[in-house]
Amino acid sequence: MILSTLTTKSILLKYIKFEYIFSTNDSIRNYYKFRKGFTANKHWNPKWKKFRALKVVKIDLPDFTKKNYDDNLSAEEMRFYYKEKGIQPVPPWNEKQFSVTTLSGVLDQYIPPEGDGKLSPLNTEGAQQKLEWLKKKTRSWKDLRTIRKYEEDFELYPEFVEKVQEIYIKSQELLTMENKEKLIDYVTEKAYPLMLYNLDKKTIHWKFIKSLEPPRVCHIRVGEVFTKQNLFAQITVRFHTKQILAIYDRFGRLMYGSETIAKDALEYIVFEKHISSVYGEWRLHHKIIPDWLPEIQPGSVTYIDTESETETSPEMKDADVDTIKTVPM
Amino acid sequence: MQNTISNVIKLTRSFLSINNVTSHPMKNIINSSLFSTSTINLKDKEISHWMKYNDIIFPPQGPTEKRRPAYVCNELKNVKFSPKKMWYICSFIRGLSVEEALKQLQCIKSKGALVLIDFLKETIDLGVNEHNVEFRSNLWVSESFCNKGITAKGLRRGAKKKITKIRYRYCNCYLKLEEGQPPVDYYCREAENTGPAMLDKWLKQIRSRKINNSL
Repeated sequence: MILSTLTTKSILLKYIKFEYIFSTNDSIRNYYKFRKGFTANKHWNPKWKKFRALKVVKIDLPDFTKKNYDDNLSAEEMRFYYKEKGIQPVPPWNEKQFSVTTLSGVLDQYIPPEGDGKLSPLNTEGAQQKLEWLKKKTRSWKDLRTIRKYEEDFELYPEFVEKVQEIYIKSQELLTMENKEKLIDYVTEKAYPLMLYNLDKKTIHWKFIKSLEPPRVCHIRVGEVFTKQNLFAQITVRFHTKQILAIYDRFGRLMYGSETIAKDALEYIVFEKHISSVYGEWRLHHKIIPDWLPEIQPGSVTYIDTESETETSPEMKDADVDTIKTVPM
Repeated sequence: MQNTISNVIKLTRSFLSINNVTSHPMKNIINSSLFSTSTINLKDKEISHWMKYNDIIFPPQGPTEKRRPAYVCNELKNVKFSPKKMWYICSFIRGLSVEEALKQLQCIKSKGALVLIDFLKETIDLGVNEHNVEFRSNLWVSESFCNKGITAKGLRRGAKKKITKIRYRYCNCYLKLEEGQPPVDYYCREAENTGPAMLDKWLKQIRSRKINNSL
């Protein structure tokens, strides 16, 4: 027996405590309660119990697990906490100055024609598409004229298109370097959270190899905010490029893409500028992803798809879902 | 007059040298020995030393290297439970797979066990959502310990107008879960108790003997 070998009192008591905590059998627990050093904290005469209780000064113990000042608390709950503490609730004095630096969406979103990257102008379908493009371009030409009012010598080809490609490459490179402060110079406030989404603590290796076709302007729109003088210009540009992308997670394991295999990327990217402001710059605003593009290569991690729960077979439903097999690393 | 001024300058200098900010932010506080380290209350934006392990980013691995197992660190601060009692339950979980730990904790009759069950589930969720752990059940408890948090103090009247303090103790729980299968012997006890290992140990002791005042 282990008990016989233990000699010192402290070790004995610790063993008793261990047995008390971990034994599921209630009789064992009751047995250990009456041993020396671990008895119930109960006086034999309950006559003076109330007076003994009066000796203790009661305290409101702080509870750190509850969050009293959560943002998600309703108004009633907040009122309850204020009442408890005896504080008069003060209405928040939030007068923040804000400035409109981007538009929240894309003006008259460009719908890229199907089969864009695959069809050539030599096919009948390709020729039809080109005709359709020319028909819908009247408004774009109008808005180009408004841009030329604010920006003299504004030429789409080749200056604007080259500049825009540089912005595109620079913004992606800044993402790899995790330079968030400079990124806002190349990317609008709308696109900034979308670019940084899910990229916390991950290393990205991105390389621009070449552009397969010269970038082409598809769509020009100019919009106003509050007054007719406050104008924002948005230009969609079509890029057909070759890129390498590899994303590694926090532990250096490859999550997505590869370091060696380059991929062709057909993208329709919207660039925006606050033309009526002196400090306006062309910045990446939004990326249009048409439905007909092939699906992205899935990541290397498996996950439980909650949408397709109804599709499970009856065999799977009966099986024990708790006993998931562990995978050896 | 000058002497007193120089004395004052010396005192202030010595005081400043004690409160000099050293490389590790905790060293300053430990050296000044104003209060114990576990009772330091961090400000809202400061991240504790334990949670900073979650921010370490490892360099990317090559294709031939063995896949590095993921880990998650998590802490639970100021739980209303005595750290001395919590120690038993924290050390019980060490080296178990996460599923096994949850099963065992359900059978323990203790408030600390209930706390740890929720805490374990939270850390698993953290790992899956933020630290790219692929399978929820493919985790094991590599580190689990507790230390003391705040102690709230109350009063109790004793015999003959004597006043004594009552200590309401709080504890902080810390967990680190790692990806993969748990090791066979977490405390490496079996490795020590094999025949060859014991023989080596005995030989080492025998050979380290010295005859004093010998050549």
